[in-house]
Amino acid sequence: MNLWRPLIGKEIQEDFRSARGAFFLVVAALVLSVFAVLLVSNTELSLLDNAQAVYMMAGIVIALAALVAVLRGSDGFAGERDRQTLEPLLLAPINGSGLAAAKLCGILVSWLTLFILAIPYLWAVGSTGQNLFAAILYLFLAGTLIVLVFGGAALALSARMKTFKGVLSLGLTVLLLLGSPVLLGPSLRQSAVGRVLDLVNPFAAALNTLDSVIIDSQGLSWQLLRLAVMGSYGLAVLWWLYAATRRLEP
Amino acid sequence: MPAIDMQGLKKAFHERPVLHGVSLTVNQGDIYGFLGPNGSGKTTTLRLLLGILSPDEGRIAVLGMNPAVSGAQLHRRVNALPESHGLYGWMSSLAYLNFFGRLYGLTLSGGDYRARLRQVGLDPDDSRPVRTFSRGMKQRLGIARAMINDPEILFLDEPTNGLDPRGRREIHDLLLQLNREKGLTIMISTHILDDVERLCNRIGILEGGLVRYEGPLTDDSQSAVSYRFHLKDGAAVQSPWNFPGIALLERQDSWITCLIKEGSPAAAIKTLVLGGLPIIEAVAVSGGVEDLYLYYTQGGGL
Repeated sequence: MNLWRPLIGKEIQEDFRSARGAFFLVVAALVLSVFAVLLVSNTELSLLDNAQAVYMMAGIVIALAALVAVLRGSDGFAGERDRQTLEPLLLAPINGSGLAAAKLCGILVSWLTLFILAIPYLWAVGSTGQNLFAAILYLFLAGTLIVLVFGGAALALSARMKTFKGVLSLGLTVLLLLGSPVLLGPSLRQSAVGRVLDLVNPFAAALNTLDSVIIDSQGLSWQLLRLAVMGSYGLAVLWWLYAATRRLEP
Repeated sequence: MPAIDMQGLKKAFHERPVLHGVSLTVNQGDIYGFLGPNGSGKTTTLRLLLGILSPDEGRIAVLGMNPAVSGAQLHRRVNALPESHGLYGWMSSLAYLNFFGRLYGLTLSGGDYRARLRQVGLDPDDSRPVRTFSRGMKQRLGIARAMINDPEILFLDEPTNGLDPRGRREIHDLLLQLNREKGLTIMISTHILDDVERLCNRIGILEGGLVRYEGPLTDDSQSAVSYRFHLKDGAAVQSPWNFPGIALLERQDSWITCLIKEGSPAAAIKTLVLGGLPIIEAVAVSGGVEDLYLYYTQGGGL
């Protein structure tokens, strides 16, 4: 663990000190600002129920979290390989699993930064309504699991594939495929196929959890299955990541 | 115990063989020049020695350890400078060294890190990001990083590639100083023969995935020369050739060409004459590492 610390520190510093990290934070803040302004000022959107507005904002944060996770995960090993900085890391007395764990911690810190950044926006659109605290709590929980699943999977791919672009393309494609069923209409989602897709899709599980908590005011017992789905994906991804990084090549 | 002992190493990528059975030995305190044309497998060999890649076949012992098994343990005792610097452009030189020091679990003070930067000729007060450094400065920082754990063996992949003559000379002096003062074993992969002649005491020449030549580069072997010998008409050359340290390169009519790998030319001629070769004339045709390199990379070692 001691050897992970400097690496986690480096990952965090890259978030704030490198051009890429700073750029992403600015973009995330801009996206959240635009949506917050739309939710409170747009004629139609401002008519939304307060809980609906919080849910929409939380959904945007989950989407951004998945995007951050895929971006950071893709960059984890493949980006370092592209920049030719991976080899000196492989020469250090830390094994592939240790490097992966440190990088995953770095991705989770990026998510934490985004989450902290999102809180004022959630407060701005939902401070007068109910369930704001539960929304924030479940956003953190679902977001963390989503980041674990997508970040870990992108990191595992990044350990095996040679280029950042290749991993990113594949990661974003998978993210879009998993995200698209969420856009199905209510009737399709109520069909058998829709229900199965909702059940096995971690992205849908996260959004349905937020829907259930924020809009329907349902408690933890209603969320257990969805959280279990996301948790199972998380565990599977962690195992995959461990297997993929047992032998890292420059 | 040799610092590095590698026997019969084979490695293929996607079923394309790169190394066909490489064997080499590096002794403690050697500065070993690992020569070969581009694409001959030098970098792959270094990565195998460092445990970054695993061999398909063969045996490797670096400081008595198998790199593929004891990678993390070995990495505490060896280090390397890859061909690419592998620097984080946004860090300062001091932050970069500090990062790697902590990654190795070292508890060095700020003063220690500064001293290490001074040792390689960098200014520790220079807080500019590394991306603004010149190539020579980056190379120096790379060497400082590679020396951070006071390794017993330092692997360098093309350490002077792209440096101007002054920069190269400075890197040479630094490496010679480290070898002299700390007894550091250095293995340099390069195709710049000037580096080899200035630094190395032993060389291995890799060509087509095999080590074609391995031998010392001391004063005696620096005089490793090719000689053409004119034999008395009709004289037979013994078969098989059995003169240790002297390789038969070519036979044409009454002339033979030999590479004298060990000892002086005079001693070699004496050996040949005493061995029954009726030499009536001897002509030196070449000498030095360059000829050795050209000879073994043109199929002469086959």
